[in-house]
Amino acid sequence: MSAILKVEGLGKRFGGLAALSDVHFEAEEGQITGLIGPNGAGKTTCFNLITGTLAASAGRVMFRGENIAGLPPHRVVERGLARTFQSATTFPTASVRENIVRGALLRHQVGTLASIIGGGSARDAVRAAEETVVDVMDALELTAYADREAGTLAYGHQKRLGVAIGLATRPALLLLDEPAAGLNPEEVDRFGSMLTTLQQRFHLSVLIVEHHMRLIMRICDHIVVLHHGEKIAEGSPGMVQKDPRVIEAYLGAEHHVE
Amino acid sequence: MSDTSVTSPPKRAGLGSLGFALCVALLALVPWFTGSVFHFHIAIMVCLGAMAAAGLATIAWVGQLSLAHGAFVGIGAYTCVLLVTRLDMPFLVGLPAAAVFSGAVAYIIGTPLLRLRGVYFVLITFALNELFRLVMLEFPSVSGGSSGIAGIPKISLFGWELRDQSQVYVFTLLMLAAVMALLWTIRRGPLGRWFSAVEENMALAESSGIPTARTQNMAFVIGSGIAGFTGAIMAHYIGFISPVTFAFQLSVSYVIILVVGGRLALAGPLVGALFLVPLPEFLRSAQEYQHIIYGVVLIIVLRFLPAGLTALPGKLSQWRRSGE
Ligand SMILES: Nc1ncnc2c1ncn2[C@@H]1O[C@H](COP(=O)(O)OP(=O)(O)OP(=O)(O)O)[C@@H](O)[C@H]1O
Ligand SMILES: [Mg+2]
Repeated sequence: MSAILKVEGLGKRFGGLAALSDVHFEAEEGQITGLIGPNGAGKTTCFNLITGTLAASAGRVMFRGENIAGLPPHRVVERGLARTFQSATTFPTASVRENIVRGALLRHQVGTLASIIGGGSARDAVRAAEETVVDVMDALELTAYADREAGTLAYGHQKRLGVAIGLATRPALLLLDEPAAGLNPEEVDRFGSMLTTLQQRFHLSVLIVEHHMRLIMRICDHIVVLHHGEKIAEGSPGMVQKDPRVIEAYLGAEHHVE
Repeated sequence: MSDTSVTSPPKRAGLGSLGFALCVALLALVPWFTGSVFHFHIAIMVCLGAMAAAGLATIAWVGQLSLAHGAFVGIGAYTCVLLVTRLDMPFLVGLPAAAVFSGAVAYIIGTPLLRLRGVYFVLITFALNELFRLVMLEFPSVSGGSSGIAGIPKISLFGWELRDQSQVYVFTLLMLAAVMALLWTIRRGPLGRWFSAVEENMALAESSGIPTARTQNMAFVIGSGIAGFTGAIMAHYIGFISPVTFAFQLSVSYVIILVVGGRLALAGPLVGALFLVPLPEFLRSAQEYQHIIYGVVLIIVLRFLPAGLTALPGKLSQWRRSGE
């Protein structure tokens, strides 16, 4: 086992607020790592720092042995680290298929001139991207909605589409920010199974933020717990669940643990 | 016209767009039916308006609105005119040079400016348009100052001068077709996908591997290059340019043409120009009220058809359906 992602001393200040301070953790290759914590714990901020959406105030992000902190997001994805967003996860007026094509084009790029004046290579790129999409739509059970406008989908489907766009970029590590938010318990279970299947099929490592504890405990190999921007615990689901600091953090935040 | 919207590309190129193409083709032939020089003139101006607005549309497709578009038309006009009159270059060298030079200026200023979004970009481009006019007035030896440059030679292709309006019209029509074909290709290809991704959800686009800053700059360069291209033809057709020709009123009229036609539709600039350019020309006595007329049309369209006139057929069938 080796770590695909190593977060070292990561920190972020927003003015006076330390949204994240000196956070260290690793995500193992081929595993599902959970990142949990009460609302405002700094989970999304952590994702934003890892993917270059925000500039870190301190620390390093080692991805496959390379420090990617400071790279713009599109360079991070190019290296095989994709992410989904907690909200506004789609291109709302484009079709589901078109949404995914836009992610898939990353692996089928053409030169500047060809992209302007068209021609064979541009057409081939789009066709190849469209082929990838078929596979991804199938894996996320979105094929039936291929021609629907993304903004008209149910919330849960939009979240799934967000995952599909990320997956279309062919990542080695996929960061998911509350992908099961807004789903009912039955759908959450379905999503969990879908995710483990995806992981096998696309040889993924996953780092997931979720508030559905039952899902997290079921699918994660390893869990990191944040509270007030600091890491307060990490370990196997069994260990984390029993950790008094974790229980206190969640009770203190009056968060319902299903 | 369902195929003209970004989101539902090629497949539904149905009867609607065929009908639209037919209408446009018939309209394009009108000057020959009437044989009127005045109609040829209007038709040329419609083509030039549509062409410049198509450049502006390219920039709008990445979600930016440039109020410096008139200045880029001016940069192209001056580039071509100066090359032709001062350096004795043929028009067919000056024309592409105008597009390239306008595009190059856009590239240089675009890199820092496009970090600004929304109204901030609009304001800074507005200021730049004024700057262009003032700087040009400061250098009368280049720009002709406030009296401008008159007696610009007519468009000439390989030594063949386009003396008749009808000849200029054919040339302009062909150039417009070429510009539209280029934009059609871009929209169907990977770059067009990037453009709409950036316009719709910048953060998601960037995180999906799209270099959003470079993509916006490409749209700005292509759009402003088209503006310069238009300016060159315009200058040699009208025969006179001055810094005032390209003052911000020109930019505003392109914005109105685009918004009235449809900001995100491929046919938007054409529809907008077909509708708005002839309007003040026909209302001869009302010519000084052009801006008021444009303003009123703009308000009406924004109120009832925020996606522009190109959305009208869709809206009509929607109303009909809900009326049943
Ligand atoms: N751009 C920002 N500017 C200022 N403060 C911010 C910004 N983004 C986040 N914060 C603050 O940083 C803290 C951590 O927020 P973050 O969104 O990372 O939490 P989270 O763990 O994702 O919470 P949730 O479970 O509610 O999504 C919060 O106090 C939040 O208000
Ligand atoms: Mg969050």
